[in-house]
Amino acid sequence: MVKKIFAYSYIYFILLLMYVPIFVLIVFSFTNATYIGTWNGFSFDLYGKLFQSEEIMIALGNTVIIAIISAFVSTVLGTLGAIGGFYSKKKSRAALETINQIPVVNAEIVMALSLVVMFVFVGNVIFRGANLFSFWTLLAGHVVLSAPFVYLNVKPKLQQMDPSLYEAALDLGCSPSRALRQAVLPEIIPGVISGFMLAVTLSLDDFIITAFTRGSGLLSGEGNIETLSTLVQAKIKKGPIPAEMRPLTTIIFIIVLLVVLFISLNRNKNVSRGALRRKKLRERA
Amino acid sequence: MENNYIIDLKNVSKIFDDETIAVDDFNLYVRKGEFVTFLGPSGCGKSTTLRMIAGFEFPSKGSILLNGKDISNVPPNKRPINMVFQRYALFPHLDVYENIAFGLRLKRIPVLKTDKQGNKVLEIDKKKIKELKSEYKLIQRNKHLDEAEKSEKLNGLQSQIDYLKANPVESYNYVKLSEKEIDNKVARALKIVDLEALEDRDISTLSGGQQQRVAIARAIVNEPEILLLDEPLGALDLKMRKEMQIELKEMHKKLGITFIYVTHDQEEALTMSDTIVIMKDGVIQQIGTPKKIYDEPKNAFVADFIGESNIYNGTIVGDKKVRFLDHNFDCEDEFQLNEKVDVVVRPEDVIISEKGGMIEGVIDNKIFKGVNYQYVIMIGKNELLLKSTKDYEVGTKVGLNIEPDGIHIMKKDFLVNIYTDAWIDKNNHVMIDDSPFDCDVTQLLAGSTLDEEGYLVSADKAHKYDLKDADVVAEIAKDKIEIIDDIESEEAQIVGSIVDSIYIGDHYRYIVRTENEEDFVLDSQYSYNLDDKVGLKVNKEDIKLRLKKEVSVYEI
Repeated sequence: MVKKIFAYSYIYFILLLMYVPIFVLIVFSFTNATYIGTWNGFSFDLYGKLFQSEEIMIALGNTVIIAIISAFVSTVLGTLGAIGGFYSKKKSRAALETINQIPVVNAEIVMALSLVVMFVFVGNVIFRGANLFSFWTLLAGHVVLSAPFVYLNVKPKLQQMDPSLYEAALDLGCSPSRALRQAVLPEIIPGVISGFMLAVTLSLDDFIITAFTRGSGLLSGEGNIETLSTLVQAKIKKGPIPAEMRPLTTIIFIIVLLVVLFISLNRNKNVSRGALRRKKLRERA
Repeated sequence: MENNYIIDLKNVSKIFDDETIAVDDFNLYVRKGEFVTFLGPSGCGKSTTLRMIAGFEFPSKGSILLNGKDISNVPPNKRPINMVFQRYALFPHLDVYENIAFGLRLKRIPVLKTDKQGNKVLEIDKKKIKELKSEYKLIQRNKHLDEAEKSEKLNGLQSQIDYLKANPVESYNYVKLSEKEIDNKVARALKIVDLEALEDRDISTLSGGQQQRVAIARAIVNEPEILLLDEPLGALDLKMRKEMQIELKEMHKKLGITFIYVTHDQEEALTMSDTIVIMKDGVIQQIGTPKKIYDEPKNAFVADFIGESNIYNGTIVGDKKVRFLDHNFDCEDEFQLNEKVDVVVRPEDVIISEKGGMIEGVIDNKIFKGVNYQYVIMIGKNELLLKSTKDYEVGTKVGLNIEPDGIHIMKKDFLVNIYTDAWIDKNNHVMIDDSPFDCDVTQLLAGSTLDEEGYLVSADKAHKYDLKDADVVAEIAKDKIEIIDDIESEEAQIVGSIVDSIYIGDHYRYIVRTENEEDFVLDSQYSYNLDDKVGLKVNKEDIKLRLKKEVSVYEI
């Protein structure tokens, strides 16, 4: 009974703290009032304004480009690292895991500052005083941030796997690289995908590393790369949160909701395409 | 002729991390179609040997010949050998059919390359050259080969490469098997393992026995020259295991492929194999047919490991006469007078009667085994295990007879004292001859430690074992036992009297016999007289232990 009460109170607590604000936000994205709390009647005005605001559209574009590219790079690095670690000797695996663990627990501000120091140092010493800050430093920052999380997502899938699968594939005639693709990858792909999603999310809403490591480039052209988080930060320094952010966050929330629903609905579907193909083959014969 | 052997292992050794010798100077040839079993306790090197034949490990020294050709450094995907893994290693993302078809889909059939007129096209075999070059590099990096052997191998390879570069040969196109061919082969393999109805099933929905069959089908569908089986029945329950033993044996007969089987289960080895290879600490102890190994074990280790046996210390007291259990028995083996020997008597070779016999004892324990009774008889302070269909009460005084052909005598290996009936007490001391010896029980499980309560904890901290009353085999090297003159001193862990002393070159070899008639063989520089009472001391780290049962039995 007590356990039930705990479970329910947790659920209601989460619902209250997480979903009520989102619900309020969604509701108030359909009115043109500047301040939340006043209701000027239902309208799509803010949605119109959102898509007309060049500033927000540029920031959104930058954010998405950085998220996708950095998530892709960190997924490749993190997955290869996890596979390499899994098949290494105990000592080197332990070393790798400790190194991987530090960025995860480290304060982001420390990571951001140290990256800045490194980029300045490398720019001054190796490139003779050049300013390195650009899209590439920003990308490096985001990869450093999310690759360890990909590693941690892939690792348990490897541990659940029968360690002889790779050898079994070799035994049946696979070359080493093919054995990785055909025997190991299918087993860890759920971990790789969830690692990718996590990397996208981490990059999407990152502020500290972005603010420290960005330079000019991407859709911002000559100016500093503006992402959604740095844009909002810049705006609230001067005044209230821009009203157009309300429809934007609503749209982001709905996209995330759809993705999550899609994944959980498709999880348990298992269509044996091989069986169908064989049936056809035998009917023809 | 060497050509009769499908696989030939010559002086093969495997050294891990420059120090651990997993396999030491392994020599074995296997005839085509033979069923060979590698048998030994865990950690004896049997799996490493199998993995070297499969190609997952390359030998540090020596060579492996397949049909007379050296394949020591050929990668596993290029060997006509397939393996059934201990935990099956089936691909969970594929169904039964696709698992079995996996190897066939990778197979390429060579088709002779011809030009438009139908003439053979001659080309330099670049692929083979590449393979030889990678093998060349591998040998170059091997630290365990001595220089002469290395340069000989390298020169051989280099001349092969040069020859291939100079001589174009007939070349081939490699084509995939058609879906139809694959389907036929898979259907045949499914039939052999009796799984026709399950081809569309997911691996996760199969029982252990069915997964086992899929694993076998997946290996044999490739028509390998050798099928390797790494403890394939270990994960099955007893009844299933017995059934699979018979089926595997039948499959072996039907397919005619060479089987190399690894197990630690002596019964499995005896029932299935044509030849058994018994290993211990990376060294072959004995190779022979099951009957030969059972009837004529080469040493106490083999006798103890294969079947149930009574092993005693004996002394040759005359022509074909041996003394053990305080009686002079007639035997069939000839040894030197007064030589110390190990005597093996199989439980079924002891004849029990109430009318008295060569020796007398009292029934101490009786277990009904279905077909017969198993008795433990106390003869003085020695135990004797025997089996009989006759029913006697515990406590009955019985006479025992042993025919000369029931007594097998082995030359005593004087390097180590082996105590097969030792056990661990509650303080984690090993009890040899009812005296406690300080020992290191963590050696029973690699990487384990002891916690404060004295329980053994596995390396990953996930399992805990209570070793109290665990039966172990203890081994003490003869040069690790020290004689303590003062038998009252605390250092003397056990007391006995010297019953035998031989002067060997620069030292004496003594046999110290305790009150309970346990013998300790040891070397010493100092001279003692026969019948001197002495104490013995063994350092903690010099007692080697081996569990008689799996360690999992003691898990708490």
